[in-house]
Amino acid sequence: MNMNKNQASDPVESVIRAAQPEMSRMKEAADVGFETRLRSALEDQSSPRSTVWETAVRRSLPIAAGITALILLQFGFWVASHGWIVSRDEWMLERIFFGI
Amino acid sequence: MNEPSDGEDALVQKAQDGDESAFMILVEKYREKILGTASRFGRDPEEVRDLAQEIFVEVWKGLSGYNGRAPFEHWLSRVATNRCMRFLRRHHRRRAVEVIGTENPSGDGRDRNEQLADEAGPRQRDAAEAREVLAVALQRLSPKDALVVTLREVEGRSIAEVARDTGWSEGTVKVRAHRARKRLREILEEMGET
Repeated sequence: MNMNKNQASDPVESVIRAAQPEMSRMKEAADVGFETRLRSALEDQSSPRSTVWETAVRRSLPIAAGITALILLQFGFWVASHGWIVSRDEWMLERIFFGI
Repeated sequence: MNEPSDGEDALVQKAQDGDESAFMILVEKYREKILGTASRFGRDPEEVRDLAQEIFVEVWKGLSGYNGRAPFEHWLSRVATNRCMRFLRRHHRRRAVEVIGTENPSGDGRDRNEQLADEAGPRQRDAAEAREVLAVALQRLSPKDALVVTLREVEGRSIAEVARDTGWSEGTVKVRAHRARKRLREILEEMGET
């Protein structure tokens, strides 16, 4: 780094002093469009929040999907092992799901 | 430092009642200060903007918690400092990986900030490089040490101000600031910044 050797010999002070213009530049660049973005962020904050129930349902959806997939898989295995065509007695749900 | 006024109290009161336009007047008043603080922590304009935005959103959400006993600016500064601390913690682990990448570059040896600064001449390139060196060195401190040394040395806040904004005692701030500065100096010397 090409810093002025006449600057303070303390590297902390020296580096901080050399970095200040870049921080100012970043601040100015960040200021462009800041207010518009902030307004948008605040509007998002102000929008009605989902209820506890909505959140709970949304979070439990993947679990419900997983359980459904497992049931379908189990049914698939049952069909594969028993064959699709079964006697009338075996159409009962208990027999399908509990394999009795 | 901005002087508190009755007008400001009224604006804060309106903002607490949900008046967004009143809050935006407060934002206009303190935007410069908050962006200034954020620019000490973020490593590019996007990070600076995001951090400043997070601070104002947190202020907006937490306005009901402001009781008016201390000046609004002090409360705002405390919220900003807490947010900066969280920013440092959040980025601490991620940046450790980036530092390795910076110290062992595989391409032309220059990072994104340096490449951008190249377009604006040698003085800005030096400043961008110094900023990067400082960021890498601060990254090697703990988040608390990085916070205190940034507030004290880079932003120039007094011991009392840092203590007020962090909630630490002045003694703790003094000791931590001294130790962190010493460590930062050692790191910079190791990096060849003498």
